[in-house]
Amino acid sequence: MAASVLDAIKEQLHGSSDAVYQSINIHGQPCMLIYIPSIVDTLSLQEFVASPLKAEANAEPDWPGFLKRLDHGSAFAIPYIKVYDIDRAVELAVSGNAVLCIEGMPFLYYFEITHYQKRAVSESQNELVVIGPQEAFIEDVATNLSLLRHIIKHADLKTKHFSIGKYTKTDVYLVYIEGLYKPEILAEIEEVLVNLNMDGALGISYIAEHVKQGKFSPFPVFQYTERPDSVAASLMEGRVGILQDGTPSALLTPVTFMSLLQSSEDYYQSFYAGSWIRMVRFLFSIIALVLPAFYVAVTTFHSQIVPSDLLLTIAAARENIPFSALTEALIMELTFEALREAGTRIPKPVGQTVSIIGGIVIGQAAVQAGIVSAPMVIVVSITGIASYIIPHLELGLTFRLLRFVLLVLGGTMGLLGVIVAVFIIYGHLVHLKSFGTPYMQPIAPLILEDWKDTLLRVPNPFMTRRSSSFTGSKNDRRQRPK
Amino acid sequence: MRTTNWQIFRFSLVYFNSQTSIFLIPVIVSGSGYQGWISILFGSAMSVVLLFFMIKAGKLKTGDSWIDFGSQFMGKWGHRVLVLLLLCWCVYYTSYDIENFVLFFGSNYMRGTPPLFIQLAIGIVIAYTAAKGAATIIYMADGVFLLLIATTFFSLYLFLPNANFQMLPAFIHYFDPGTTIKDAVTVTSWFAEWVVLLFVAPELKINYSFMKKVLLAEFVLTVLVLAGWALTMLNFGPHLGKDVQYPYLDMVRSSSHDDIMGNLDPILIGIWSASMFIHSSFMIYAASKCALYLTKQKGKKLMVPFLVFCSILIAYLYSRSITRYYSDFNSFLVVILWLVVECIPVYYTMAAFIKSRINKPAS
Amino acid sequence: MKLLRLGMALLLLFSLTGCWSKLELDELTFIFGMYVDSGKEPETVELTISTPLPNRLVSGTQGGTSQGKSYSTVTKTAHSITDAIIMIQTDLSRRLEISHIKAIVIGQEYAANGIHELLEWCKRQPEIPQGTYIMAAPGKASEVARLSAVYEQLPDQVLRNFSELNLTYATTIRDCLLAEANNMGYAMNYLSFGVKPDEKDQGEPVKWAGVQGVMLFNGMKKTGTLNSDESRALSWAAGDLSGHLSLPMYTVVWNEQDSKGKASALFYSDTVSRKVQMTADGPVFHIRLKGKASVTLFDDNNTDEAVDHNRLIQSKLEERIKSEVKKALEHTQEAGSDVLQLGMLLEWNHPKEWKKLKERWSDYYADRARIVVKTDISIVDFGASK
Repeated sequence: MAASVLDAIKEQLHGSSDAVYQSINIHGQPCMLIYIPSIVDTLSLQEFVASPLKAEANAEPDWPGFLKRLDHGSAFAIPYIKVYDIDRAVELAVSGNAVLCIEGMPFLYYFEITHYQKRAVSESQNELVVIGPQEAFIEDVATNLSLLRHIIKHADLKTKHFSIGKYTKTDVYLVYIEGLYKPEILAEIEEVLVNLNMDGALGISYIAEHVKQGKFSPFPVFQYTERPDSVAASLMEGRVGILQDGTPSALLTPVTFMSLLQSSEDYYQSFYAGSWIRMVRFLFSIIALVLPAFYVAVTTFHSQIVPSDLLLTIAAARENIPFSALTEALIMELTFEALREAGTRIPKPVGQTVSIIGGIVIGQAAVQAGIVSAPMVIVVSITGIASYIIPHLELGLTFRLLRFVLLVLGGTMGLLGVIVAVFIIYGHLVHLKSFGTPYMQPIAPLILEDWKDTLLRVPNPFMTRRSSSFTGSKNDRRQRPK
Repeated sequence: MRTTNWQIFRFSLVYFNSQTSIFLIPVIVSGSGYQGWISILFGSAMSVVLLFFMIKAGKLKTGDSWIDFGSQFMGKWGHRVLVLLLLCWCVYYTSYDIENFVLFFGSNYMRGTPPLFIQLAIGIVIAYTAAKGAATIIYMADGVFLLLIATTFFSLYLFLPNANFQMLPAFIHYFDPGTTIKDAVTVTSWFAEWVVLLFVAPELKINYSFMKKVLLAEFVLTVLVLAGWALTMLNFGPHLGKDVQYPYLDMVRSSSHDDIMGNLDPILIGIWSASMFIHSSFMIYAASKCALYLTKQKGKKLMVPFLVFCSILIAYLYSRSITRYYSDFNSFLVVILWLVVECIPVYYTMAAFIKSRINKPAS
Repeated sequence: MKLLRLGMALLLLFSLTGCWSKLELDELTFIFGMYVDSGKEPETVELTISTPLPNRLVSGTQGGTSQGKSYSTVTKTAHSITDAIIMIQTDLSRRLEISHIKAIVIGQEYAANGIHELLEWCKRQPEIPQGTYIMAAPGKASEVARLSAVYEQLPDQVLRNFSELNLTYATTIRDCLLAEANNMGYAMNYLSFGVKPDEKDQGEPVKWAGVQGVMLFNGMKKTGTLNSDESRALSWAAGDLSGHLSLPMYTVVWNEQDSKGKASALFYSDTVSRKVQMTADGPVFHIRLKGKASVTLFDDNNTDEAVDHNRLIQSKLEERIKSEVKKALEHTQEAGSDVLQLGMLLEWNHPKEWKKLKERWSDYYADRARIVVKTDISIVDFGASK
């Protein structure tokens, strides 16, 4: 029996030359310790597993006593669990556990001493704040949970575990606060996660796309964040979060359009600054979508809108340009997109040079060569800057995409095209629901109480109620300071 | 679906604002001259009467939409005829909306563009929005509401510099019952589209709180139309006002001379057109509900595009003979027709009343 | 789904066909000024338009000078304004765009013959902004088109600024249309034009234009002109009808027993209220001018302080303004133009009487209208010295 257990294991692990089989003779009985050193905490292994075993081997022969102690759980200082299923044992071995195989016994014991390589908790790269916590999630989900539990110290913080992917067996945790969340959302996500059948989930967006199945909207219904304080704040609003091992971002849902335009900085700065910055952000996000289309529509179809002096400057600038305004805009926008993409991929040493060249080439030389006009460069640059003002990249990417559609419509149908396109996008946004929450709440439908935290950010003492967009609890009063 | 009664206030305001602000005021200015305000007030009062009937009709059976329970009171075929009438009216009104927009926007900003092009573009927007359902349309009105109020106040502010306040005494010195009554009836037909609100019945309960909010919306709308009319008169006077096709545009354009303010009219028009789209989409939604009732719920997917296509067809035919359009638009026959349709709640209330009377002696 | 695909295909097709009213900016030329004259033959109109040349404008501001004029004028004669525009268009390589027009100037003869066609043409075109300023030239309007723009870049900007400064009238097309629809009279700036042989601008003597008064109109025709002082008085009395006169200045002299001297006042605030009062003989119109002034010059043969002569200065100012307004109004009555639109006061306040007088209002105004002028001046401060 025992021999076949060991043989079965060896057969499954055949070909993995990094698996170690450490045999120890205890009281005359051969035992085998199976583990993969690169994913096991070797110090713990030596100290808490191998040394006691060796001590046991050197002590008075007492095989039944040893077995009894093993059974009672008092043989080792660290916890160990009995397992009967061989496939499970192999799974555990390749997941970083050390498996103890005893001659003649049909069961095995395993020790949870997994130790993966991970980086240290560092600053947030993509969601920067000046005042406020700087920590960001890393790839290890245990560390992420510890960062989260550091902030929320309440028993109502629930973490539900799922294991996704046949080959990756990724740990996925659903986190929420009992009593605040909307049960329908949890039920929907759970159903998807339980029924998920894929090879492997490498990034958290894989899961996001499965949950979003059927919703073909370009707008994001999930919010990604790499900051534990954002996750904590969202959980306390009643949202549900998903953490996945291997991804340093968390997923938050439900989401509204306005929440995608908010950043944690708004809450850490003074409320005047926070409100002002939010309004600027909102204005510029609209500009990022509409400005090129508007400019092209106005200069091509409706020159009566532009004040005369500006009009003469633009007309003079456009004198010798060989392309129509629409073509010019498309060329510039596409070039800008290429610059953006190149900037993300470029290795750091070369980065500086390329950005300088890009700026000089596009900005100066193209204008002087008469390929594009100076006002167009200004419009495209302002649009580019405006699109980065959106704190959450997923919404910014959507706007980048839609900007082209609007540009083409504006260039062919003038202001009518822009109006039609904006209205259709607006209709789509109002109709879209992120897990049952209308996307444009609290603008459409208009909920005035929630405006305390939309474009304005009222001081903390006045934010007494949780936003109705997210919370599912009957009592939506936040706790007030005594 | 979270829907409240204040939403109805906002929705009604956005819904009624588009047509009345730009198209009703020139009609009153050319018709009544200095007495327009009397026509507006009378018309508003009469439309409130129709509102009461609409509330009564909506309350006949709470929880069920009018389309479903209407046959109980009018008989199967009577109800069918009225539903068909409402359906045709909605489609016809939408074609008016579309053609108005084409003339207004096209003649001012897009000369040379064939009207069919603009009609199709608008038709696509209306079809897309109408297909989304009443709740979405009401939410969209919510979102547009603040923007619309802001632009209304802004545009009223733009009209103040050139307004000649010395004209104000003229408003009380003129009174001619004949034209006043006629124009009051016209105003009523514009204000009293309450019958379409019967279609929000499943989502919202029609009760007294509902009525209060709608009354408030009516009041605010009357104030806005009065203010718009007064400022148009103070800016243009009745003699020039009669001649000008779209006084609103002229007022914005001539408000200042070379800076951005006087040239902002396309932006204001853009925001106004959102209100117009909501108006037409809701009409088509109501029409599609009627049509689906008549075809017994068959053809759900195609109904909205088909109805929009009909509206565009009518608008296109009108755009080919503009004189016919203007004569129809300004004719009194159309006003009477509108009123006949808008009195639909009255018929039902009467029928219910008669029925209850008949049943009483029997029991 | 198939329907959706068909719909999308159609939409794309439409967008590919492009739009019909699409014109690039460099395919347009903007009309900044329009100058209308009577043609040599009767029933013809000579139209001159002035358009800017963007290249020369911009490069001119960047430092280059003798690149030539930064604008260009084209003149054509035809039977109607529209025909003239068509002829001008055939001479140009770009399409005309009128929505940025700044000023319309009408020639003396054209004004006398009647400006009906011009006003109707402006009224019907939606592109023409109704706030365009209109003014009258002393001779031929096309000459004014060639004035040297020393302070501004283009002559049309000079003309527009004359009206914007509002030193006399600031008549817009809308004012004319409104007055015509109401059957009232109106006035517009009357330009002066001349050559300054001493100064030279790009090798040619400088042609200078200014405002010398107002031209009165009634029933689409010119009925008379007023000189500079009377125009200023009239535009004060007209209040908002003239666009609101800004910062008028008056100088008064006195020669009494105990003092002789002169003083000047600058009026920071000038308002007018016009009322009508029905009497047994008919309507009496009351015009009350109010002003608040600051004394800018006080020159006395004594060594008094200006403050002591407050009353005197005030009364002299009132006298002068009143007499000038009265004279101006008398001239308008002679011309038969109800420039202050007093008839409208009747229409608004006393409809019954207005009904009786409406048909022959110009005659009634010329012969029998009684106008009473009152002034109320107060001096607010005396400047920097005592």
